[in-house]
Amino acid sequence: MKSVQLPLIPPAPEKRRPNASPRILSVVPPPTGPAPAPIVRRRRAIWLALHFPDWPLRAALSALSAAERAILEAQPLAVVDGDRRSTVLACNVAATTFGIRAGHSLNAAIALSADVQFLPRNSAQEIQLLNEVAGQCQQYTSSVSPQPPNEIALEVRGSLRLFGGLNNFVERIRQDFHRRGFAPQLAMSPTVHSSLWLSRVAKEPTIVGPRDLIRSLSRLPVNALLWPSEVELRLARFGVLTIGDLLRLPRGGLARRIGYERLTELDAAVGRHPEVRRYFASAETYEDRVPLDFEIETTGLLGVILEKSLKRLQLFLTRRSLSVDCIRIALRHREQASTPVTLGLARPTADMQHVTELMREQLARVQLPSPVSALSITVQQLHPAPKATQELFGTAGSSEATAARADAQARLLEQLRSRLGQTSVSSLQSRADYRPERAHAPASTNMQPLTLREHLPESLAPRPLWLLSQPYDVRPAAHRTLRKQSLSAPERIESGWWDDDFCVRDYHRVTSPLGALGWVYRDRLHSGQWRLHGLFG
Amino acid sequence: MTQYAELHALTNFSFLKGASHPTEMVAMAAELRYAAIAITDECSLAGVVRAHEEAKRRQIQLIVGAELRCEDGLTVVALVQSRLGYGRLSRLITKARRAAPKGSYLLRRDDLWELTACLLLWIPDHEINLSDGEWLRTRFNGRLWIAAELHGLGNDDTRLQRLRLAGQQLALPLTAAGGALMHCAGRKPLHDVLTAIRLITPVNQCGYALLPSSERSLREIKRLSALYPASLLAESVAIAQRCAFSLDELRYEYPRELVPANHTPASWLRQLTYEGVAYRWPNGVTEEALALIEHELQLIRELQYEPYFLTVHDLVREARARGILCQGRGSAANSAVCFALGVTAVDPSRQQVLFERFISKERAEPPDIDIDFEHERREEIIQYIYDKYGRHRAGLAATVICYRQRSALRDVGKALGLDPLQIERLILALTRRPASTVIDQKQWLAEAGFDPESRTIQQVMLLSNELRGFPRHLSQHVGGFVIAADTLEDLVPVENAAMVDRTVIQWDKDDLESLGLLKVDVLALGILSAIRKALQYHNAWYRKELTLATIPAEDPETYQMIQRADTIGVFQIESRAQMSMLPRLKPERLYDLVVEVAIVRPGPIQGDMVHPYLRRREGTEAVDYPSEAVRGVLERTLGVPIFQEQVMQLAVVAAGFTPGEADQLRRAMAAWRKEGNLGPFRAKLLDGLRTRGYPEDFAERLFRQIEGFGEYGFPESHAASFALLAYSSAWLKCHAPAEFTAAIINSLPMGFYAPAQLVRDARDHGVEVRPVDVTHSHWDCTLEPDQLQRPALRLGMRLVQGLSKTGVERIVTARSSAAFSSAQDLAARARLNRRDLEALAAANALAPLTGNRHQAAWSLAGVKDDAPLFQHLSVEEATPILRVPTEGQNISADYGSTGLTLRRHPLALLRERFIRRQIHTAQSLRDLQTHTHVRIAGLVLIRQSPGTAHNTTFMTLEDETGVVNVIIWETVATKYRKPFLQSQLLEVGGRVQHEKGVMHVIAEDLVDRSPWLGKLRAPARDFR
Repeated sequence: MKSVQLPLIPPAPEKRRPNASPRILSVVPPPTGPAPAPIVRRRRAIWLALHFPDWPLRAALSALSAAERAILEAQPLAVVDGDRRSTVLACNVAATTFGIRAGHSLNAAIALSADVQFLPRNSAQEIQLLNEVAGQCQQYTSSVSPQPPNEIALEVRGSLRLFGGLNNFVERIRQDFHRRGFAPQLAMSPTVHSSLWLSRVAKEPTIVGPRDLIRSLSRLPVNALLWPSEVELRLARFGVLTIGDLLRLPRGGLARRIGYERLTELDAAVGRHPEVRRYFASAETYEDRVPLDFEIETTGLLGVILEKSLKRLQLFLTRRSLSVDCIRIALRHREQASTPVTLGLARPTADMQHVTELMREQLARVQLPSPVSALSITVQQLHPAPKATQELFGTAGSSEATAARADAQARLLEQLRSRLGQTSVSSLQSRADYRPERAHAPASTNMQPLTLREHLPESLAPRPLWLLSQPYDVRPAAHRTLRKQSLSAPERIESGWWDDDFCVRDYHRVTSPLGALGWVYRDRLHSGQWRLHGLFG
Repeated sequence: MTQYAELHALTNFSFLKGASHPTEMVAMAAELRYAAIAITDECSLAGVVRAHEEAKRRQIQLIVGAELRCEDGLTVVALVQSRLGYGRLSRLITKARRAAPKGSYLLRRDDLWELTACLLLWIPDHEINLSDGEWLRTRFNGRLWIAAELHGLGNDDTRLQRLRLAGQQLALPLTAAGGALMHCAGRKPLHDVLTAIRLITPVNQCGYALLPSSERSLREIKRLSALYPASLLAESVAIAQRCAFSLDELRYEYPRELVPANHTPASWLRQLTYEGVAYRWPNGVTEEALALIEHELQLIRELQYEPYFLTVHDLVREARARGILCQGRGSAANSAVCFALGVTAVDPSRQQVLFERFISKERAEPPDIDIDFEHERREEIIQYIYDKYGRHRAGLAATVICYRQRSALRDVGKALGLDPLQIERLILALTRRPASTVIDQKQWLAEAGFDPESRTIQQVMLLSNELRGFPRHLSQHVGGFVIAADTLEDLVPVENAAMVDRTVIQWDKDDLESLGLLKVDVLALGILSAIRKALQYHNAWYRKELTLATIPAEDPETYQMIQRADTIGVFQIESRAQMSMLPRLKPERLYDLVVEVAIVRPGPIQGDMVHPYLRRREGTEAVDYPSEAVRGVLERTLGVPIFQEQVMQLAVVAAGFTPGEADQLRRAMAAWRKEGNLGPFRAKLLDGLRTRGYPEDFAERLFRQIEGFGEYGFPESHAASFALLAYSSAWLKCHAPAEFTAAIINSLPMGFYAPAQLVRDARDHGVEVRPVDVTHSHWDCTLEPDQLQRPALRLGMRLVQGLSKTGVERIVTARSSAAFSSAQDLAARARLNRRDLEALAAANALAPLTGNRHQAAWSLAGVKDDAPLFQHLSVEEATPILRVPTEGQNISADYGSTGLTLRRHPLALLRERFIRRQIHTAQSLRDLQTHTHVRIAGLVLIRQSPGTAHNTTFMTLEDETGVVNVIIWETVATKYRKPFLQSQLLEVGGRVQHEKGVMHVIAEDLVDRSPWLGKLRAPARDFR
């Protein structure tokens, strides 16, 4: 066949195709691209769509502690988007009584009630929560398809009999969710699209069979399609208000006006075009249980067995290119609660040889209360494997060296902590603060390697190495001598008015009768009290 | 006693670096008995004029200077020695500022060479780079010092030693300097906040970017003596003594090219004036007018203001040549000379305004003329100024944009780590209501859920109050031009504005005024565009030659219309408040309009001047004057001070102010809301009145009126010019309603009303209005003959939302060769894209070609954007099954596309429902007695909550029979908050109130009926 240059807008297909059905609702595949294979009539699917109204509110609340949630839920509450207007996305019942509704700007909402509390939108939590709920739905069917942001579609044909028929099944799900405090809008129909659209307007659970599908859809307003507003506007200009209006229009003409994908979507909804769905896979955790043939009383032997288990973990990780940062080992006893051993790592790794060493260190400190009859290794969270340094040229050497050094430092820390206990090792951190007692502080929980990120400006006088943890009051009798003995121009520090430690001090360097070089200050806030704050080396 | 001069001090005009106003700096330096203070903002002279004024008041020497940081890090402070040095510094700053985008500068080391007649202080870094010093010394030997700035960092002594060593090595002298960034130690927290704002980081995370202490403030000489050797302090004074320049030396010279070679400015002005006299009084000038002109010319001559009048005349002449309508206003504008020169169209013999009231000999205040030009064409005049005088000589004055309560709260809140949502709540809690006491504020804070006693909230309140009034950046003044005789840059630095091709000078209007520099305000005014167009349409239709000056004066029909408050579209007197005043004030001559324009303003309303004036005008209150002197000032306004000028004159004649003091009072009045320092004037005023025997309550009332005037005070000189425009537009509305409506719609956006109300009003006045139609409409509204050969209004395609002007131009061109046969023909010949076609279809403008709007939209939407359309449109398609639009849908779509409908009013469709609810129409309301209880309903046209009206909201509701004005007290608004704020269609229960020809409904309950509108979108506009 000769190749023909396709025009930008293909000519109307309904005229050119002799075998096209004269009915308005005929299937005309999109003229660009290959015609789809004829649909093989397999067993018809049955889809159940769950539409969760007020999802942003739900998600934002679920990220809070129960106590916070209780306080907030009692008040008018709205979730706002991060856009410039701070649009209200959802609000609770208390807020709606003030007239606040989704779509208001933050300012409009405040104008309606000054008592409204606001939560920022938490998109990540919305997705996570949806995935969680989707995970729970796996009890009904294995075909679960989350539809972010706030919908889930389930293919349930196979489950119907299991749950006692259509109506019972729907009721069961409704109640299950109700018990968990959710009130999704439910709709059941033969296609994903149609079930979702129906669920968006379904105040009561809606069940639509294949014969009623087109009739039911026809009644829906076009905005149930959630198409972009410019498409909705265009349709409104045609006088199209319902999906029925839409289906009545000539297909070729409609496709040219709103795009072929949307026509395909309509076709899919009424079952004339196959639907493609991505199913839900739950996040993986790792668990390895090792029952022992005999009870073990020494940690040494345990180490040997654990080493084997860790090798299995290693294999699991490398195959999936994953890594771990925390491994929990439970040593189970016959008649007692199991002994937990936790291996916390400074950074995610897949290197089990290193973990094995750590495990041995840790195990050596464990006192077994009774013999061990079984053990298990679990990893709650799996991370993607860390990327190895792969630079080819130039700076490779130096950055590799840095990486290696950081790695070594992290390992040293891990080892120290394994030996001395998690809390006994901490690093010093310097902070950019003029107040000397705040310029250094132990780095709290995370195991940051010791780095000096914030240097004291060069223009300031040097500070003593030894800073007293509590400044030491100087006797009033000595004040006059101190003032005379001052070795340098004083350093004036006035800082920290923004927190509880406003400090207004003049620091002097003085020598004690014994020749020690001290750092004293006069506290100008507190009646000029003199205090010793540090000693120079 | 030890003496010291601060040679290095930055103010808040080094934006977000300095933490004190220039005036505060100077005042503090005077208090600390410094010998002198240099204001040396970073590459800027923006703050020096304010400092200069304060220095004169405090009698301390001010040194003008600037801190200059070169791109390579070299930092010096330049101090001006003489006028020459000043010009050089100004030019250098201009160069550096012009080389960088707005708000920044770029200075190269070599640029410093230009600094003749300046002294330089070198500010070395922590590492003293000797080669920098060496470089400077070879160029500035003998006028270069090393600045020793000791800031209590704990190593001041070693620092001083190292600087001394450097001085010895380079053979350079040392001087003490402060590098002050604030006037007192108490500003340290605010300085920290400014740093945080600059770094966009919360204060507690700014670390070492903050100052360690408050040492960079103006310190007591005693403390300085402890820090610095006496010789260094003495050196600073010696340097100060070598700087002899004062800003008073700047003298403005007018452009010379306006006067022909054989003329002096005086003789040329005289000649132009008399040429104008011949034109203005074609039938011979009256003795009276001639005497006035001679008198004024005499006064102008004495004050040597001729060049100023010539400059203004030149602009007006140019505008006239280009056919741009313009009018002057302001103190000198309403003179016979200006009338003759064509600056104003107000015939001085028509009003009671005396030239001398505006220009006084004693006050050396320059005349002030603002010229308003048509808003669409002002840019042409601006370009003319640039072309004529060159960019190096003409510049726009700056407007200093300052922190206000809202922006201060926002920035301080951020700096103190409040989250954005909290900040918005805080702002809303504090700014929604008018100024108040601290106790009120605390209560509001508590209501909004903040703990008013918490440290952070208190700090936010305190610091944001301090920050208020701080300059943020320089913006361009709306139209204040300075034109220099030679080079503007020698007078004041010029920098880039945000707009491309625009520059601004570093001083604002007040700065220029205090130095006695003249500026011309070139402003934009919408009504001038509308009047010019209306006159043009009217003249074309009836073959007349009417101009602004020849519109028949004092036309009784026009005043009758005004008295009925039938003034939609009329300049100034069309607002809700003005309309309610007109039937009571019953204007019957131009001067009544002058009063009307000035009286319905927040100033007179707050000062409680409106009601006394009304009562006196109605004759229910006696007009009396506490003295003859006061009678002279107040007689023309029946004893009630209404204009700004009257207040100033009262201060002079009744309280013994000198004209100069009265002028200061005027300026303080304008600024008191910002700075709030009327205190000294209050005492002086009350004292003066008391000693002259005026009763206490008269004095108190006068002061309250002055306060009320505040920044809203309206001068008589401006009101006079505005009144003429109000009269002219009213005349046009009365005698040429179709032309007038077309002109206003064609000049939108302007005024108060949307096209819907203007069109409706025109129809009420008997004008036939025809819909937008692609076969007849142009871009602008046009006039077509109706059955009586009067003009009918054809709506223009400019009303169609989303339609491009170029598309319309192509339609009109294509149409002129042959009529369109079909929509396809239209699309093809006018080469329209889909957007334009859809917009036309939505407006139903294609109806003659395609049938109803749904069909039009469908048939035109199947076209790909910007593709050649012709062939594709001719593709035959299956006929769609489309709903026929209902009347409601059509009305809704009309509103959606053009903001108005010529079909029935949407409420007409709902009337049956309303009748069932016994709801009155606007029309039927007029016959009801006061206090009758009624229910009404209408589209909310305007919501207005004037700041002066104590939380009362005025709403205008419209139904198919007219509009109703509703007054909603705060209690009702609070109780029915939801319908109050949200309704598009509002049902109101309330009582009718008739008062002197004005009817309102006082609302008692509100119901939101918007859902009844369905999808009908009504245009509502909120006014603050």
